[in-house]
Formats: sequence, structure tokens, C-alpha cells
Amino acid sequence: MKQLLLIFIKFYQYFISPLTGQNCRYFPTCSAYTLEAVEKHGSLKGTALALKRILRCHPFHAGGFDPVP
Amino acid sequence: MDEQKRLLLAVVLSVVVLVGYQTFFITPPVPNNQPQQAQNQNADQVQEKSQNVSEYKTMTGIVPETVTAQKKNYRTISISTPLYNIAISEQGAAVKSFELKNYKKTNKKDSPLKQLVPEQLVSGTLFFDLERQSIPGLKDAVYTAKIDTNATSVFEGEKTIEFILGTSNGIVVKKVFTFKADSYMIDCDIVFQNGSDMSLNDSLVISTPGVFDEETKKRSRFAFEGPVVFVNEEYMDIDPDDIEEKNTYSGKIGWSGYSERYFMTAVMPRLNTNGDSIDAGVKLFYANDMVTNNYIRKMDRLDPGQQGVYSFTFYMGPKSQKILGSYDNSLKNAINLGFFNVIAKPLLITMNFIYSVIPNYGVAIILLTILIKLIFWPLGTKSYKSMNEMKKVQPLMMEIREKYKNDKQKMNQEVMGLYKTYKVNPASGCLPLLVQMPIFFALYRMLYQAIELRHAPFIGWISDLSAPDRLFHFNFSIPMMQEPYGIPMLTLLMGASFLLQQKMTPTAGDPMQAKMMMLMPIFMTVIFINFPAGLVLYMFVNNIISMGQQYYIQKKLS
Repeated sequence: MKQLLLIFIKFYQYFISPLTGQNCRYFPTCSAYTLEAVEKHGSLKGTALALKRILRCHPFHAGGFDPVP
Repeated sequence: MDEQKRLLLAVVLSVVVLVGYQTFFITPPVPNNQPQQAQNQNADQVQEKSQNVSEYKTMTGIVPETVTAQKKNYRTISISTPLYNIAISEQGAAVKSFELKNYKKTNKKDSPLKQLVPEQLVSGTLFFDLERQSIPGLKDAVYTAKIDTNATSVFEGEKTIEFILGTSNGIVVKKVFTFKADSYMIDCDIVFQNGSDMSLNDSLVISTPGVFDEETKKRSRFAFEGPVVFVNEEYMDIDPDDIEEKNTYSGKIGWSGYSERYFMTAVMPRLNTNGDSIDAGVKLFYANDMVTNNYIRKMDRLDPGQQGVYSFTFYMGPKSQKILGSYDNSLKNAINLGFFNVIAKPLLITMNFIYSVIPNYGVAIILLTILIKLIFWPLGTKSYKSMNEMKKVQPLMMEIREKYKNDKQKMNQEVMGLYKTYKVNPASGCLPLLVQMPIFFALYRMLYQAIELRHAPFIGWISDLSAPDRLFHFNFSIPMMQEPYGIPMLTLLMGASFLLQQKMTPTAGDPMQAKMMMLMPIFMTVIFINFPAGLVLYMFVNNIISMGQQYYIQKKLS
């Protein structure tokens, strides 16, 4: 499960992300954040953290430096 | 601003919840694969319960002459209605030809009508048999049509035509078609009169075959073609390659049939009086480029002197939301726009509504695009605004870039800190992108599969919104391009719009990424080169509006 998630995110980073342009308001980017969160906290908590992060990542939020807890 | 912010958040969140819920929590009902035990009742019970079985009295005059299955000369009866021309052969009482009067085969002026029964289907379609062959040779037996002429028409009301087969052991089989002038629905009663001295205990099998060759396989990758079934209130399209693993589906079969990208043939058991559909099954076969979808229904035991009637409705026609939506049955579920069906269907209905006001599907697509764009207008405005504000911090940013040239991590961190202090951010965020993704996919599927766009003209050279746009026609082939060959004018314009948009957007990232971004217009043009013009039109209009919005905001702020 964890491996699958990581592969999926890496695939997105290499093949899809370059096409859509720079979109993330944060550093690390949402995908990098997810990758780290899943590695650090496991797939369940990692995904939950990632979801929270993506929900924060819109024009009405300031963005900025926001590392994985 | 604050109120608008909250409203937008609410919209966005509800969409996310809706999509998320659809995706993760609604598990499709598992089709019941157990054999139908309920059917194995004793004869008395069946007699009490069944509405299909009754005594029948043989009256002199109606008894057909006993025809042997080997009768050589058989007729083909043609029936013409305002909607279609159908030809039913006395052999097997099967549908051998079905031409749609409102749909042509190609977009050419002198094109023949769209034919739903390909020549390769030698036995035709919608023929039937008994599963255990209780009446040998029934499938290809030669019936007698109770009509004097070989051609008739139904231009008002309805007309019933009976096909009768008397078998040598005394069982009479009838297939009674009722054609209606104003509907694609064809009622069909299958009647067994047991005049033999043995009881008949078997299952009825109605077949809807289809040609599934290499070419179909290729097409099916983009828009499904193949066997379809509506089982336990759930639409299923079955990839012929999966038939080897699982070829039987049972449960409450609403209908089953064979579907092309735009048209379908389906058999629908008529509901019994209490409105329930009947427990039944479908069994699929795939061999020699041919897929057969067999609807199988257990018949009630028919003792000598009894008559069994099984009622069906056949549908052969377009998968049009307007037409199928007007019928009060489950057939409208045949229009399935994939994973994002929940979003795609409303889009299709909205597009059809716009068309009813302005009867041009090209204009309808443009207006639909504007409508979608309007929903996301505040998001765009906000991010273009901050994009503009970026200019203010540009010098500071250059400084940081210079300072931390060798430490990318530190550089990014500093840049983000800069954004935070000056309350700017060039990116619009991941969420807007994520929310718009399902809408784009839904729209893509909708525009790819909507029969409404088939042969629907827009302006000038775009005479078919469902086909790739080609200006002029060349005789030589062009790499990456599928036939026909020509200048993909609209697609090139779309590519240009991508390029222009890229030029308008300041790139904050590193030069490597900037290079990648410049490749995107080319990439998009190549991908879209064989896509339906309707889809290209959407993308083009979407870009134009985005650029307009961006330009407007920049003008307003400077």
C-alpha cells in the first residue's frame, strides 16, 4: 500500500506535474509533502495529512513554508 | 470579499465531499452469481404464481400448418416507420437489417442510412433459442409471417406482426412484434403453446451479438463498444477480453444488449404486474471477432395444453439523452459517461438545454465553457491578482536566487518566506486544480460520447463536432495524424492559445521548468490532433477566456 502510494506520487511528479505548471503555494510542494508524510507517518496518517494540506492549498490561503510535522 | 471567500470555499468543499463520497463510499452492489434456486419450485407452485402460464384452447383456423425446419423458401418482411426501416427474416424470426432514418452512416450528403445490423452478423440479431435445446433447431427454424405482403409501413398508431412456427412434436412457437410509429421501442411477445404430450421445461435465450474485431477494439479504448447489461440497478459494460474470466452475470436484469459508441441494441424484459424485474442472467461468448450477449430467463414449466407468454421490449436506436430520457424505464442508464458520470450527465443536459435555445452545438459548447469558467471566476481572479503582485517582489527574489544558488532547499524556503512576508503567491494552489480535474474529465467523456454532436456542424470547415477538425483534404498522410488528413485548423489555434497563455504568465521557477512549460503547447496540439472538434473547441474557448480574464485583471490593477 505504502509503496503503491509512493510510486503513484513519483509518477505524478515526473510525468503529470511538469505539464500543469507550477501550482503549489507551499514549500515543500503538495506532492513532495505527501511523499514525505507517507514515508514518515505511514500511508493512513500520511494521506490524512496530505489531504489537509491540499485543502489548504488554494488562493485564499497564504501558502509559504510548511514542512511535514 | 470575506463573504465571497466563504461562499467559494463552501462550493469547493461540497464538490470535494460529493466526489470523494462517490469515489470511496458508494460500493456497487455485488451481482448475485448464485444459480437461481427460487426457480426450482415444483410445478404446482409455479402454476399458482406465474402470470406467464395459462391454459389455451385450440380453435380451428388458427392452428398453423406444421412447417418443417428445413423449409427452404423464406421471406424477409420489411417494416418502415417514421424512425426506422427494419427487416425481419422468417428464418429464426431474427432482425436482419435495421436502418435509422434520422442518422446517416457518414457525414457525406449522399451517405446511406446508419445500419445497426452489420453484414457479419449472419444470423441477424434479437433471435432466440432454448438453452437445453428442447426444440431442436429452433434458432434457425423457418417461421411463417402472418402477413401477405413482404413490405409494410407503420406511419401512425401501431402494427402487430406474428411469426408462427409449428414444430413436428406439436409445440407452437410464436414471436409477436408490435411496432409503434412514434417510438424506437418494439414490443415482442414470445409465446409457447404446448400441444405435445410432454411438458416443456427450459430457459429462454435471446441473443444480441456484435462484431468485435481489431478495429472495434481500437475504437473501444476511447469510447466503449461491446456487451452491456443493467443488472441489479447497476450499469455494466463488459470488456470482451474479460469474458474469459467471467461470462455470467445474474440478478435483476433491467436490460441487456450490445452497444456501439452512439447506438445500441437491447432486450428488456417487460416488468411483471407488480413492477419487479425478473431474476435472470446473461451469458457472454467471445470468439472469432464476435461477441454474443445472451439474455437467459428460466421459463415456467409448461405442461401439455398450456401456453406460456414472455413479454419483452426491444430497443434499437441512438443512445440519446433526449430519446432515452423520454422513456419511463431503466434504459436511460445506457448513457454512461464513465467514472465522473455524476458530473458529466448534468453537463450533457445543460448542453442540450442551451441547444434548445440556440440550435448550434458549437455555440452550445462555447456557452457551456463560459458557464463553467464563471463558476471558477473568483479563483482565477485571485490568482491572476497575486501573479501581478509578484512583480513587486521580483528584485528581492533575484537577490535570494543569487545568494542561495547552490542550496536549492534553502532557496525555496527563503522564497516562500518572502511570499509570506509580502503576502503574495504566484501559484493558484493545488486544490483549484484538483477540483477542476473531474470537471474536465467529465466534459471530455461527455463531448466524446454525446450522440448529439455526431454530424453536428459548427461553422465553416467544422461540419462534424464529433470528428477531428480538418481544413481541406489531402491524399498524403501526415505523421501523428489519423485519417482523414488535412490542416487541423482549430487544433493549431488551440495550440497557439496555449503558447500565448504561457507567454502571458511570468515564470517563477527555474529555467529547466520554464523549458518544460514551453513544450506543453506542442504536446497539447499533438494529443488533441485526433480528438473530436467539440473537445478542441472547449479547450480553445477555455484558454481564450482565461487569457481575457488575466488581461482584464492586469489592466485593472496597473
